[in-house]
Amino acid sequence: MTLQGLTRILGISILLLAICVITTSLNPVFVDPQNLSNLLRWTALFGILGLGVAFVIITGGIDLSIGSVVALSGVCLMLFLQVNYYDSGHTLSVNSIDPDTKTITFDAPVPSYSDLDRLVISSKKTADDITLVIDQSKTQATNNDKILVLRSNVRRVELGSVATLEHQSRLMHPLLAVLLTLLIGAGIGLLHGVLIGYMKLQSFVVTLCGLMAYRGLARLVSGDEAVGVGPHHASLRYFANGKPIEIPVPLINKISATGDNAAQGSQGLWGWVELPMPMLILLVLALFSAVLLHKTVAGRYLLAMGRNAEAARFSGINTKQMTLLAYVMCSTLAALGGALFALDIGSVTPAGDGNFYELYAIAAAVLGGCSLRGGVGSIAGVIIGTAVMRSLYNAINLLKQPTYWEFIIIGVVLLLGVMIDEIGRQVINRIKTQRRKKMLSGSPIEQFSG
Amino acid sequence: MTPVKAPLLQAQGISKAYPGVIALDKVSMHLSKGEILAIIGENGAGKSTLMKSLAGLVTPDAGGLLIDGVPTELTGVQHAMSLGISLIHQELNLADNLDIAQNIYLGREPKRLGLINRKAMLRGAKAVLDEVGLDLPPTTPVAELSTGRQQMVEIAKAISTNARVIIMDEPTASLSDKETQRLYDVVDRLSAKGVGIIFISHRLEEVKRLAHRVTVLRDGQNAGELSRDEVDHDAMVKLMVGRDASNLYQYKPRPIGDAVLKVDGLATQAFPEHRLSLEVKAGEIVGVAGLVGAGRTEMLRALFGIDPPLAGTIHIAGNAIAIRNPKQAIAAGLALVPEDRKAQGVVLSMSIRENTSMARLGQDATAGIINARKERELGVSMKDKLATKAPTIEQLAGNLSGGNQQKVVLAKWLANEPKVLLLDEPTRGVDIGAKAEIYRIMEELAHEGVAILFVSSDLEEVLGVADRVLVMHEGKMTGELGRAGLSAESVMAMATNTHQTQTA
Repeated sequence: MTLQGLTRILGISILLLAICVITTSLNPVFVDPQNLSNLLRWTALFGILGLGVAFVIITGGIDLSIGSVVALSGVCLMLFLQVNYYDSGHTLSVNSIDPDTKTITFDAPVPSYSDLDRLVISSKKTADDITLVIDQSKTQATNNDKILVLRSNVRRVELGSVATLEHQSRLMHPLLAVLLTLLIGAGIGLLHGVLIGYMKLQSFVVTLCGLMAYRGLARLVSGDEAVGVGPHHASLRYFANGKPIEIPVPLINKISATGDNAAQGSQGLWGWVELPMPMLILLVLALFSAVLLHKTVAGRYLLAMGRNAEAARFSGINTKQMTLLAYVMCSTLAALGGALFALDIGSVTPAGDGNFYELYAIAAAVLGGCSLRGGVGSIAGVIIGTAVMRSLYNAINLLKQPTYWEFIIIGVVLLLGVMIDEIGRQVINRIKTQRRKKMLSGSPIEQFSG
Repeated sequence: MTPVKAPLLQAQGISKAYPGVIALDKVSMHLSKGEILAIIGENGAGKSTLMKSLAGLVTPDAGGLLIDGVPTELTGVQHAMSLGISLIHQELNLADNLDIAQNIYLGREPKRLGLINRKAMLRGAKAVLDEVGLDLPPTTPVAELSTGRQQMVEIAKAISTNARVIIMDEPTASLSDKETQRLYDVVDRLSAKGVGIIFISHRLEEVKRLAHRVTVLRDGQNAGELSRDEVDHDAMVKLMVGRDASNLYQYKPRPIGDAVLKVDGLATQAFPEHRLSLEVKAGEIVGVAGLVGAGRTEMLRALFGIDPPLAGTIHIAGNAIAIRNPKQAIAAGLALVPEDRKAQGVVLSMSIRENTSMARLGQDATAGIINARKERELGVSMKDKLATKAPTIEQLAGNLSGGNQQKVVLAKWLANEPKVLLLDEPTRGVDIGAKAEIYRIMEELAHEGVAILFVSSDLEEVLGVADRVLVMHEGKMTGELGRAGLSAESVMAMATNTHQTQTA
């Protein structure tokens, strides 16, 4: 990595640290393990988008469609994961109801069922049926085959009414659904790559059209309504909201328990922060990306192309193919991000989810040292850049400031970052010029500097 | 004309450094009223930087300017213009979408009540057009003018700013004979009116015809000065090169083998109406001469798959190959050292190592992972082999001098062990020492059996290096000369072939 690249990473790391320290001093809740875990999760989700766009920016392009790809892929995943019910043919009669434990006892043993299967209970008084979802984990605990525990209120169920057991049917295996979603992303990237790399259209225009078209498409396929998985697919959703690892961080309990939270009391030197699944996914992707960029032929070609596309082509590099690769990676990662955002919340609102996400991703990449002129970028920088943006957002929330401050502050911070970078470069150039001037006095012509 | 005591314009010990190269090293010059001064020197001698310093485009690191004997520090082009100094660039700086009058007054339009006074503009433009003898309505769009006429518009523009010093960078480089004559007339007339003229030129006849005095630059330093009477070809070349030009070229015959590159009926995208056929044998160095725009670069680009050929067959070592892109060309054993080194040859912000490995990175990789050790070794061995002057292979190409950058480009291709090496103006902008080394490398490669085809506008270079010379004119192959019967005259006659047969 170049000296300038290192300076850049050092610079934003200091910025990140400063934001953390200042926010903590104003509101110690910032370092509460719960808050830190959430911050890590959001950083990771946005970081995945940032990684993708970094590859495009390195080639000298831009991708404005990321937010819409997030929405479209999220909607598609939710639709692929949809669960339907069919009548099992078994009917039971309600013998007793316990509203407190949400338990119903039947006249006969309940036939085989699985978690989240449901009961449709007809009412004697009204024409409306009541639909109740089975909570298998708790039912098993009762160890009685005539008893079912349900997930929702059973107060409206009447004694003696008839319940029909309905089994669930999935459209497809959840992993297939994720794979298809990623393929949609890859397909979008392929389209962008062909239009930009092979047909030489401008990336700004192509992805601007994408920004609008995919957003519209997301609303079209979802019927312009929020789509979700409800209580289903808990195991798949673990990839978005799971917290498999805890890492110890010193002092945070003591700090976060000061001030308004003093009542909670301190809990020793070490606080445990849960590392969310998306962060693990991001770390794997970052490692993969860093290797790709710095250790593989493709990465070198991408960098070469971003710096001098003409010279790259004259060296036999297939610049069209490399462009295609960058856009496919960007849109696939956007689709992965979209899938994780959707799984995290469990539903997608097609009109609003993912709005402006492309700009957050681009801002993070630029803050992290990617040059929009192409050819320059660092994976670590993108991730730290994302962390800066999310920390700012979190700080504004914790300090109970209106959210419009988020936009103002991020805008100003980004601008300052770029300005400091440029000023730094000019200072370095001036120092070099001074050195050359000194060199001029006396010596014959040098063939090289440094 | 009364002699003025202080020169109109004087430069004293001007120095200017760029990353990796010192463009000007304590250069001095002076210009009197009505004088026509030619500045000559090889590519990279610092002529353009000197011009830019005089016109306020470049701020010298050291040294100073005197205008009418008054020390002056130019702050920019506007400042220079206000002091009566105008620079006419080699690539003309006219706005195509505007008409002549709008271009002449660009940025300083005559105003009336805050609006552009079109009438005054047209009147003024007409007056200066008359002065340069350009009989065109000032409302003519510049896009419709030939290069020669655009040049006249540039001069008219300079006159309209009441320029006392007009600086021209290779003014006749792209002019026809007739246009050149007209330019000479205008320059003479301006000189007679007391305007000082400085011009850069590569054409020695032009210098002989126009200049009152010649200042010669070499490697960024003053190399000497010639008065009008002393100006002749040999004296100028000697000062420019710093030694006898013949020392640079030491042609020795080489054993020549079978045909490696064989091209039949090649049609380039630029000249689809002409078919090109040629052959280069193992160990042979074939030069391609011709005027700018003769289609030589286009031929190399077609052979290398940059602009794939429209028709024709290409054989390499007896095998017919189809070339649709550079990758295929490289796979077939071709290599191209392109015309524009900085834009096409090297990636300036990458290191010598990264540039050197660029064309064979994939070959040396395992499962797409770069073999870092091999890459380093390749960089070091190539740097040693070509004697590239740099502290380490991690040095950025952008910090190297032109000659060493060219060696990096050569290193990239030699690493691939090409069968056919195509070179386009290989020594353009390269200092004399590196030039000699590039010739040495070419000869070594030829000895190793590589077939070399090189395009050059430097006639002495073509005559001094090539075993055989092909001449092109307007997209056509107009002649072929072996070592016997090879002379500047015979090449030039073929390079201007059609022109002469038409007029004869």
